[in-house]
Amino acid sequence: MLRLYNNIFLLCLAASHAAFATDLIPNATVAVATKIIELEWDAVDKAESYEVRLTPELGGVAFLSMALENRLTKEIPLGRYSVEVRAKIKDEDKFSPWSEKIELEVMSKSTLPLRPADGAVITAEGKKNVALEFAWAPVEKVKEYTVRVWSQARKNKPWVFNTSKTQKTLNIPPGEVYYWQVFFDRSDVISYNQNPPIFSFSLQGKQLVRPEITTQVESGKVKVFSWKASPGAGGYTAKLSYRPLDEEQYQLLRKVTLKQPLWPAQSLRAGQYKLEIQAFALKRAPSQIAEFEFVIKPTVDEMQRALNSLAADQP
Amino acid sequence: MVFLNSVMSLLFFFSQPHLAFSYSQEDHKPTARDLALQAQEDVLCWSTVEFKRALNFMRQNKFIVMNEVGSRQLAERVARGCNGASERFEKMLAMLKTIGLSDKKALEIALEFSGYDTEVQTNFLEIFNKAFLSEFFDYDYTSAARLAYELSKEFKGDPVQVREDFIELVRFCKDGKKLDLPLNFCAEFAVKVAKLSQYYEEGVRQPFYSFYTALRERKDLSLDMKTALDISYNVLKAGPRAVKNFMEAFEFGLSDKGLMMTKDEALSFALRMARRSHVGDAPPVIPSKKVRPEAARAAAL
Repeated sequence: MLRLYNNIFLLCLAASHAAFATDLIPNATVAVATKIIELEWDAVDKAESYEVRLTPELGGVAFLSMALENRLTKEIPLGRYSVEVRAKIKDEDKFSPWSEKIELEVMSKSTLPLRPADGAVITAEGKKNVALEFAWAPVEKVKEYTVRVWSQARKNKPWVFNTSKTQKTLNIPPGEVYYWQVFFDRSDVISYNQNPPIFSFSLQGKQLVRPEITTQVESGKVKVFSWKASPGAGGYTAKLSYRPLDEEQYQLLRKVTLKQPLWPAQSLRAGQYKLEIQAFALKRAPSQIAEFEFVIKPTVDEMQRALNSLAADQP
Repeated sequence: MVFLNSVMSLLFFFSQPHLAFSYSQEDHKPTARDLALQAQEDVLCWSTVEFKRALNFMRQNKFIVMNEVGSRQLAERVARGCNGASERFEKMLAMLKTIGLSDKKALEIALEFSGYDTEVQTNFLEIFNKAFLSEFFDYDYTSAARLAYELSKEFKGDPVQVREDFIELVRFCKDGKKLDLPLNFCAEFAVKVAKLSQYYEEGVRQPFYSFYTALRERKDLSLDMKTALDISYNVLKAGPRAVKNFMEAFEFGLSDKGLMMTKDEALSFALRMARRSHVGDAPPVIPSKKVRPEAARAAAL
């Protein structure tokens, strides 16, 4: 009979984020806090291999793993699981019955951010404060969490809130980069020397209006790139890319930052071009990128000169 | 086979007016040997001259940079295009690089056209330039290339005639005193009518002017511009006898001694008669006076 150790080893080797693609949201990834666990059980005589089943307490698909020895190392999402093991005996084409179930709690010993994601860029709808939900992965046996949020401007005066839950909504003004960390107070006697990681996100003000490109191509030439100013814009990022007429992939030629909605076009060789303009301003989300594709063509004279140069090249 | 070759040589000779003239001056008819020599001349190539010129171009030109090994390989391929191949190659490459094509595509097309007759290559150059450059039709590259291909390597008739037809028809279409139509329409229209050149020995432009003018100006016809253009095209595409058939049928249709039709009925009758101006699906194509398909195939290898 297979029997698990009463005191199953549960070794935290590392805690990490992992990107689990979901079937529900195509092309989306959801950051799920995971942990690597190590399980070990009594070996069974003549066992060829073992099968381990971890069933989440809250339902969902069970994790089924195969092990050649009486131990298993596996990365799984945080949560509660029931664990059971069975053995495949050598030269027998069947498994032993499942072992007794053991309850397993996979919890973190430090907070991990769920929302806002670390490094996220969030755009506000208007100029008013934004109700933003902060959420983090639970830590085992926690009585209360303390959330600390600050920006560069409020470095010495952070918002601090206490909660027993794993999320908290705060109203914060847009136009800043924010930092946050979560401390916790455990209900047991164990005291952790806490130095929780600091996460950050950018809460940008209302998005600038996309510039309207007014550049004129006359007789296959451009003298100056121009566009209508976006209200509130502090400047513009302009990019010019080129490709030969028969190719599809553009290559970046020039990238500049401009204060005014004008950019003198230096002599451009013939071919296909793409101009991209984006408005930006402090505390505002940059505009969508305006694009303008155009073709630079030689004049009749230029074409004639190119053909005439052939005769001149002949020895 | 020998008989067939002799007939082909004879046909070629009479398609070369300058040769016919030189013999008539000396007041004697070309012998079979004269014809054979001329036929031979036309398929003999100065391959080393072409190779040297192409290699020299690849080493010195300002349009494309290639290493020595690549340049030699390319020059060998150009030399397969026979006399004039390197010049055709240079011109095409210079034009295609000047309009902003990639090196790969420019080389591919230049090499292809180095193997065609010079007139075919000239057609591509002139028609592409007219279609693409901003001073003329200002088409995008793909549309301009399509037009140029249609009237160069894909054209079955005489390349000189179709080029003249295209240029003259565009001029006629844009002319403020004649049609004065929008540029885009003129380009499409000129290509459509110029393609009929393959059925007309001296090109389609003169038959078109005469017929269109008659449709517009003759008192019994006096058609509006659109109808006159449509009928012109539809009649001319039925070959060189279609205009005469149309006119005779129209007159006979209206005549008291003929069919005593109304004007519209007579026009329909005339169009039916015009369409029957040839047997088969289309009139016979008048072959080009001088093409070098063998060389074109060789260069494409």
